[in-house]
Amino acid sequence: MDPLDQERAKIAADAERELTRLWRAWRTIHEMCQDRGYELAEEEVRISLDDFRERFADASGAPDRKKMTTSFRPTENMLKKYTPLRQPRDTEDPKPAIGTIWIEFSTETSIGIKQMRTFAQHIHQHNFATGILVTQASITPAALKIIPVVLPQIIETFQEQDLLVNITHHELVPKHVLLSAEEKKRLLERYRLKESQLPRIQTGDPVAKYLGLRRGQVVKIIRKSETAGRYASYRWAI
Amino acid sequence: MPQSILKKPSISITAISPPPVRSREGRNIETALYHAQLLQQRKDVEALILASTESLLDLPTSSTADPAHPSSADSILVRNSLRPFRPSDYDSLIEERNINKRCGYVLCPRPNSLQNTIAKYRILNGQGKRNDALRFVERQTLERWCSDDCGKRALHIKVQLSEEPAWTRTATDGAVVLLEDKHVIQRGADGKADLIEQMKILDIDPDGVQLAAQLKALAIERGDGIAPSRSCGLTETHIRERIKIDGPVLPLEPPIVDGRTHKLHGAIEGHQSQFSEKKLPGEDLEFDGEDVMETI
Ligand SMILES: [Zn+2]
Repeated sequence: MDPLDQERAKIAADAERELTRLWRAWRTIHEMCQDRGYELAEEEVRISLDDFRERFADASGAPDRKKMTTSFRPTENMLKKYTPLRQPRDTEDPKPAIGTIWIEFSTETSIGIKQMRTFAQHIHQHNFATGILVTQASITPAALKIIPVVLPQIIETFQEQDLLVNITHHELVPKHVLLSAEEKKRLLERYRLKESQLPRIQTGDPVAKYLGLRRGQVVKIIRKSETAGRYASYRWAI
Repeated sequence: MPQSILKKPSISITAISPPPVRSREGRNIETALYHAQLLQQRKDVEALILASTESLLDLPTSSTADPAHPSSADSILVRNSLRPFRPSDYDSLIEERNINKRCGYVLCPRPNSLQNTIAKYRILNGQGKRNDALRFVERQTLERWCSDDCGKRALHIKVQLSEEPAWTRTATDGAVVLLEDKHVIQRGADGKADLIEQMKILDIDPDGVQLAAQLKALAIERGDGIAPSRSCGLTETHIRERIKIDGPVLPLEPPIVDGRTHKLHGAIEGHQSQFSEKKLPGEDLEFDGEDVMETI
């Protein structure tokens, strides 16, 4: 091969490598949304590399992040799970604290205040309940301070490299299941516990982040054990 | 609009005094209130710093502004906005400006200088002899400013910022002097008539105790009066200092630690052996599954 061909081959290999990385991240995000309870078609979740290339590659074969946006609605089940318990003073049924989620792969190489504000504005304008920004690099500390300001709209961020594998598929990671408000109440009543007496899980924990756990929620963790079959434990998100 | 942060926020950056001693119950309530108040002040200050950082990203107002001669509106805005900043907040402002491809010095409209290398360090010719003449500078540090001059202007502000969080400072703390302000002081220092004006530029409370000390320092500098037994502090130095932009280079600050990790993706790619494709639906367990042993 002459040097020019070699150069071309190298560029093509780099583009393919980048495409494969993003295909993996794209699949993990979809699996994550499905696991959280959003409505996704199975073929969306299991998109093949070829189909991904077809939809998202540019002329050079590299992924075009601008096209990598999507949104999903919660299923009936998810809506129920996120509906708070009716309080005696409530005059009408409480509304579910969940809604349409927006996902965007950032084209920016650095995410600062400006880039985060732009994302937050998009979420706000379109009235999404949640927005996920997938970034190429870490986000500045100042930009992260914008996230609590836009509550109750929720902004979550992930780095592409953290989505290359789905951590919850790892054999050592037990299954985590979010409890509804009703299930949480029953659990606490059954064991005569206050929620603060449960062991804790940080909302920044990788699995908690994957599930989008919020403070105060309880997850059930189901492990397999050689002696006791399956057993469950519970964690309170803080 | 950048102007909006000129409005005095509804918070006062003054320390809350600890609660007086009373009955145990009353004391507990007061202690709780005191901590709640502190927490709220802290939140307010942090929100203010974030808002100020956002406004300062868009400075200077004019794209043709000269960082050596900032407009007075802009420089007042900067001096007011930076009051609650700690050095780390200020570093964060510089980082944010750089992300937007601007010189890190808040009053400079130029782009930051991108070094035409990806090497981690650059070797620059400094002053001194032989080995001393060479300086190793991190590329990231050089890329913060458009020029050495702006680096000096920016660092001149940084060294004045207090490490103490604004919610525990007293209200008069935190005034910042621009390098260019000192120019004005230097030029005007011969005329005593505009002394108060100079003090205002320095943001010194003109009727406070400080003024007396400053006047005394000025007098001593001119040879009248007797030198006090101890220094009058930083401001004395300010007034006496000569500004030479082309002078020796200020020491460079340590690089911003931004927590960025540069992991190699290669290590994780292609390594999937420990992962099952997906957990089977049959494995999904009901909340009240009979065979599940509950542990708390
Ligand atoms: Zn500059």
